[in-house]
Amino acid sequence: MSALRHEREDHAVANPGSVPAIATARLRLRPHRLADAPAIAESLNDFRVSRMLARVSAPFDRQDAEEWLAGVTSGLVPGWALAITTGDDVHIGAVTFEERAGGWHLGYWLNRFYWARGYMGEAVQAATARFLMRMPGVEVQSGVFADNPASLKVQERIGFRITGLSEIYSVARGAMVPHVETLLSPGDFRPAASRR
Amino acid sequence: MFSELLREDQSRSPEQRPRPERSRTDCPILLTQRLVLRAPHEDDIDALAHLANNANIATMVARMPHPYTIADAADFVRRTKAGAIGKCVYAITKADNGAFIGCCGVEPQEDGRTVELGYWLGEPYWNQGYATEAAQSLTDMVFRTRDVDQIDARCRVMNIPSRRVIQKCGFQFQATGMVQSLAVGGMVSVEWYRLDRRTWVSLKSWGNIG
Repeated sequence: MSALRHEREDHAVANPGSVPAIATARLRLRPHRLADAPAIAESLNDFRVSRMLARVSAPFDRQDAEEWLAGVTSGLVPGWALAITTGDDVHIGAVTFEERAGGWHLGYWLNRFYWARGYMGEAVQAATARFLMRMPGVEVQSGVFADNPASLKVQERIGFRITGLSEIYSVARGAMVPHVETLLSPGDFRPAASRR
Repeated sequence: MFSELLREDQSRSPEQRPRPERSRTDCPILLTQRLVLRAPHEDDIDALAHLANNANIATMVARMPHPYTIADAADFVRRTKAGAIGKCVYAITKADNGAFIGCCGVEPQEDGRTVELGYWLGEPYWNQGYATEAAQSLTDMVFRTRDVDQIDARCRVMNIPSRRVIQKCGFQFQATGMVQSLAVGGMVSVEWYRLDRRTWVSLKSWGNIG
């Protein structure tokens, strides 16, 4: 506990602050709550979703969701974890900004029922815009598995550029997976990304 | 073919001319063995309010208020006529006596390639195959008249009869999720099923063999 507190003070300068609420044309992004655990468990216990993520296990149950929520709702971990809703407060996905090895990392996922509607791009674009407003001049790292062109399109549309290829371990697949690394450099962000 | 249409056009008034593109947005009256599916109208308000004012139904669907009053029923019919509740809302009625027994409909999704199917039946009419009959004719109508790739259907995890209807129509399980239910006043777990066009074509041709 005290170790965590200490760590937070170290990063106090480079912290985006508390998780905001963001409204887009069709979506409402809000901070996570522990009550989101059932919805997260339902959404991520779908291999078509979890196979595209690095650290999500398959099967994924409510306890897994609660463990993740305990971290992001504690306020002790720097970064943001935004819940995506369509306005009725029901959690359908997440956008996160995490600090990893001194840099900021963007991650996101969406319940598969809501795929192919432009929701993910809308949420990521709005969240990134707000994040950069709080943290001007920072680089944001991200990446996609090589077999996930839809996700790469989301990132390229808002200004991410491919910086390299690697292999990372996907817990859901239980294997090393080719991974495209991307970076959003300061000034590259396209806030008025068209939704199409 | 084209010349035939042209010749016919000249002998018909503009309203009567065949307009192939109209069928995509219209909701034709659907006839099945035991049912007639047609647009709801004011005469249905009493029966609608009577059947829909049932917690066993309201807690199984997303947006039905409970308790359900005459005013809710009148409002539903009015909004349906104004086109506010998606494009196609049908009253399910019995073919033999015209009795109103429930509602069904399809709602286009934002991707333009998918519609979502929904239905409910008054409790006295459960377990007689009516929902399956209505859902199958609605499914056929959608794939025959609209340029969509797939139909989605969602039901509450605990709604075993509804899941059976979805399965009997050929839908396949996709994933689970949660949705807000107005009558429950909170989130409920749902299962998501999907029928894609090629599966539907396959099922239709399979049924015709032998």
